Amino acid sequence: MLTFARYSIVALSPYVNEEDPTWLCWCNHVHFVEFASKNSFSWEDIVQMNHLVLQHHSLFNQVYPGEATPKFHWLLHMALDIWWNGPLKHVSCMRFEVPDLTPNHNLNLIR
Amino acid sequence: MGAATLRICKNCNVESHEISGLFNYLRSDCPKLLTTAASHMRDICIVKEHPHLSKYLGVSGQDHAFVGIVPGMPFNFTPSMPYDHIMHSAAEGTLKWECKHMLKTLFASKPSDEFYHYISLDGSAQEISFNTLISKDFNWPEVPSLTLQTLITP
Repeated sequence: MLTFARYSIVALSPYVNEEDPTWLCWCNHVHFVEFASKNSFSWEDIVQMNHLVLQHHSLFNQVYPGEATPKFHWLLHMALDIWWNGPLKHVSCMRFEVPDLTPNHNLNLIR
Repeated sequence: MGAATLRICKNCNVESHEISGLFNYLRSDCPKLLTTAASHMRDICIVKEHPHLSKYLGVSGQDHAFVGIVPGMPFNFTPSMPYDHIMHSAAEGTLKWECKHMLKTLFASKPSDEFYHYISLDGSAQEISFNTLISKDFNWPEVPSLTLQTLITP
């Protein structure tokens, strides 16, 4: 999913109206996910990421009215949490999910 | 426990024997973590009034604990779990939902159409499902961007 998201902006941009709010919303989302995965942050990075999140939420409500879930609330914490605790990558459990990949893969094979 | 085991918390720079709770480099009672956790007290209050939101906010009904976000996590409740949930929400949850609807809005002819078509390098038409498109097994870089033009065709 992240691979597709990262390539999507470069690959799809020639075929979309780049002023389309749906497209702008998607680009904002991919950009702040990229930001959230960084290893280090400057103050300008944090401010820019916060701006991207706010802009994304605004566009999302415009493009998909009524579809926002409470998950979006968590994204609002991101900038402050990075400022206090450093990159989110250091407190993500994704690294610990890696040992689950093999059994999950095997289960998918026999499903 | 000897003095040699004293370590510096990466968060508050205080030497402590208690660095064992979270990734082995933060004090379990680091005041910065507790302060940050306090910023989520509002979420806890929301869940107390509306328990059905707990699965979204990642907060249990108890004041001091956050529910396990992902089954099988190697440690139990820590104040840092909200940040982990942020990563999951941003990278896995909302991203996938929005990607699907973005493709439908911008490229698909029918909102219910789960399949997309593209033309491979040999000129033959290929059909690909959304789930294949986003799966880790799909070798995205081998699909030249020109072929994606046909994603917009019905």
